[in-house]
Amino acid sequence: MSGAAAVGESMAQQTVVLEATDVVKHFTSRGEGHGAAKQTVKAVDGVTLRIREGEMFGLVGESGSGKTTFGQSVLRMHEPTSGSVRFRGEEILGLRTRELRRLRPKMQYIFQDPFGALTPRLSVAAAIGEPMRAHGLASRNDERDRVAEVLEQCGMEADAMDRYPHEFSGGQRQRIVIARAMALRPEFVVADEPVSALDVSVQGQIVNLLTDLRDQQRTSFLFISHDLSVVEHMCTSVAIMYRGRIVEQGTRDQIFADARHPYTQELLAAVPIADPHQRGRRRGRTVTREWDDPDAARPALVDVGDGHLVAL
Amino acid sequence: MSAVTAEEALGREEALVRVEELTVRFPVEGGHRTVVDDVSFEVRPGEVLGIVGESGSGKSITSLSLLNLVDDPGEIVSGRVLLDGKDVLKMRGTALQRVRGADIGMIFQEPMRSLNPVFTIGKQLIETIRAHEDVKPADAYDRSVDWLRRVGLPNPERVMRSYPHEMSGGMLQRAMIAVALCCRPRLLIADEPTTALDVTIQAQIIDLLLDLRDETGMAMLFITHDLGVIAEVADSVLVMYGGHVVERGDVFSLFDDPQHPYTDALLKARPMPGQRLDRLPTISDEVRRIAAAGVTA
Repeated sequence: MSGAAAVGESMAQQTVVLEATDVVKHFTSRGEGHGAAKQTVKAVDGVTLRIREGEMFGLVGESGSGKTTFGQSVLRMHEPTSGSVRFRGEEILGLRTRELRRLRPKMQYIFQDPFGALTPRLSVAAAIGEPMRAHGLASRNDERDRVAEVLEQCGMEADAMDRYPHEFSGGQRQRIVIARAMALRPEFVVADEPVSALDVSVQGQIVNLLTDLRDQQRTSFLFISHDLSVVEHMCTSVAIMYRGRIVEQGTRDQIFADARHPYTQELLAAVPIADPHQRGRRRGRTVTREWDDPDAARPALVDVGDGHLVAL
Repeated sequence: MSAVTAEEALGREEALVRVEELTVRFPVEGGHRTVVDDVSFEVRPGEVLGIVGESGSGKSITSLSLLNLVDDPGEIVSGRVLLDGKDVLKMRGTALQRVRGADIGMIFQEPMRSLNPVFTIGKQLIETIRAHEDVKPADAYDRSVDWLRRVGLPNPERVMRSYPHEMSGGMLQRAMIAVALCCRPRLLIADEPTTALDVTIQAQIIDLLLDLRDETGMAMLFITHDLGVIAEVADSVLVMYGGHVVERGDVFSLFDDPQHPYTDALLKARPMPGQRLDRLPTISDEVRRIAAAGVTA
């Protein structure tokens, strides 16, 4: 179980922290017009994946693909329609609220928008310290020390403690949001587009911070993003989601060097490359989604070799 | 080599817009803060000028100044914005109104900043066209449908009847572009137009803007913090930091041989496809100090 031993082992032998099986989340809404039938939106339509200890798992898809809904489903931020989510082997979808509270500190969520994720009237010390106390990770006596520790770990000075969210820049606020989540020493974190709202230069700092936290604490991450460059840099396993389902999944090399699904290929081709000599490479190319027939049954994921899964 | 000839070719044409020594400041406790500091540049017809910078670099305020749209308490304290030799900053009333929309169009990161939530897309297009040109309502309708088709919206007649809240982000972005372009502006200011969009939609919008540039010969001022986007669209680039221009150059020499350490650091901060570093490079405090000191390369 030590770090050195784990490196030598194959991925399959590492401990699975989170196992989601066939997770489905449907939303129903009233149809258009008077007396119309209810409409069902299949936001997440059967997603299965496993995240191992200390793994950074990238979940990529366009807006509306269901990636955020899936991330929230596995944390039971809302109730999935069906499926199974096991955290260290324990099924969490059937748990009562009280039992779930025991697991809450171990499973955390980092929001995309650092402006909306912090209560404006709570000082940084309160925002980070209160959850620590509520979960017995700090007492009234050592709360401030613990908050200072976790702030320092996230690259903030201890004097940030007595200030309020509006006094910080976007990048600093995102550090506070991350500090609040990491203060509870989670084993599994869903990070939902944590760098999308930030400047390129600040993105690098936050990406490095998450990588460090993963290395130091062996935290497992589900890293949700639409930015393929960041995912390629950070994540060792990647799943591509489209209309509520995973259409391709594999290791970083399988996805970025050997993409098989036309949607993955479309995404990769659309990433702007910071080299003007390569401009025009993409322009004029027409993209079709003929492979996506909304009326046909969705194809299942098939292993095309070494665990590289493709639904075609 | 090709970069030099492109530059020479452009150099023969008269500038469409010339910004001279523009300075904008905002009041702060006990004084003023200069957010745009002595910025000069020019844009020629058909040229795409990229302005790159982080938040707070002054890139958006610079672009708003071109239309004299800096809100109170911000104040343009000096400089000129010359369009056809006339200073936009001195214009008032109908002359200024003509420039906004007819000569210079603008699109934003957030489409709802320029669309009205209580009117249909069709009404907003028709009104914009008729505010700037003397055309019959029926002709304005036809032209509106045509623009919606040109920006790649499927079923334009239906979009004409739609309200903004009924449309997705990518569709709204296209509708906003149609509203900005329907008066055939000679300069389009695009302020982070693709930042909030998915990569696939971003690629479509960039292609669309470049196609429209080729078709109409309009110039573009493209503001973004994404150097990948700049590499795809810009002919020349201004790099801004702390309100001033730290480097200016044609896109090829800027990427191949950045002169200012800040430009260099900015170029390296973005993860490149295929690149897997242990840590992403960040911009050091020292480079920021040099950039803030206003040394122009």
